[in-house]
Amino acid sequence: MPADEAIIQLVQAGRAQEAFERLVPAYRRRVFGLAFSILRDRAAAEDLAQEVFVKLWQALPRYDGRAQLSTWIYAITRNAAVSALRSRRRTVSLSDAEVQAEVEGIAREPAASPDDAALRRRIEALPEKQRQAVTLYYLDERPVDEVAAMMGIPVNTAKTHLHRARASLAAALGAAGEVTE
Amino acid sequence: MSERDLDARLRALFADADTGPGFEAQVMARIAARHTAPDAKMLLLAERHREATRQRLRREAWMNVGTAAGIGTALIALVWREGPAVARWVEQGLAAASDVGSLGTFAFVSLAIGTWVALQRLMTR
Repeated sequence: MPADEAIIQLVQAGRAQEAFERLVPAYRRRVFGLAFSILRDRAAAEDLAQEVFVKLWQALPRYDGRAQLSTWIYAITRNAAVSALRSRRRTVSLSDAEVQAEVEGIAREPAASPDDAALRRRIEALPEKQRQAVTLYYLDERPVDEVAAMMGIPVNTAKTHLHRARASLAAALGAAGEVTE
Repeated sequence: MSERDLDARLRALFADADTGPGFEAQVMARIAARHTAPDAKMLLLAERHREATRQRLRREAWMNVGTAAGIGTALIALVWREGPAVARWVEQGLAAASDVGSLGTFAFVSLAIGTWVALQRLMTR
């Protein structure tokens, strides 16, 4: 990726500040998308994305180029998101009814049409990896190989998750009579 | 539902999922806050360390004064109560000190003790 090469060259030239100024706009949406696909909460994902960039700012001068820049950034984001998710699960213990209410709440995001709400519910009901693959693929129309890199899994595995997710969604929405729940 | 319809609906569903306005400015603000925080923390730690050192030195100074005063008082009391005996010990000591062998032994022991004390101080730094 040309932007990555320019960023790496700046880091190697000791111009980490300039490198960071290019890195944020280049990776903002991808870092947010990856965080969102794991946390499933927009505000939490944005907060986490900001934290990830603070970590990147601290770590960028020490980036040695052994891993691809994107792989390195995705790994930091995934680890941070998974840690955040674990700590959220530890601190928030909800009953089944509360979990259901929370899922309903996610489905009733602002300005969501009934069709969108139903689709969101179907996505929420997918297995974790399938849901993550769908989110990353459609959030920013990323190619499957990049979705795989973001998830840290082989491309074929990502393709499988995506295929199964789409099949499940198509079947569920079709069976529901063109989404009129 | 066709695949094309599903694709279109999923794209539309995630189309508005993005960070809020001012995201980059917020990142820079967080960085600025973190950047100054360690400095303030370091200053606080340094000030605490300085204060602890000041207190330790004051304590040691008082202990030294107390020790010197105690030894002085003990010596005065000793001379006061055992004057003739002390005079005799001093005379004997001076006589022994004038002997070359005793002086050599005294110099060697003093050097050994001094070296040991100096090494102890160096090792505790």
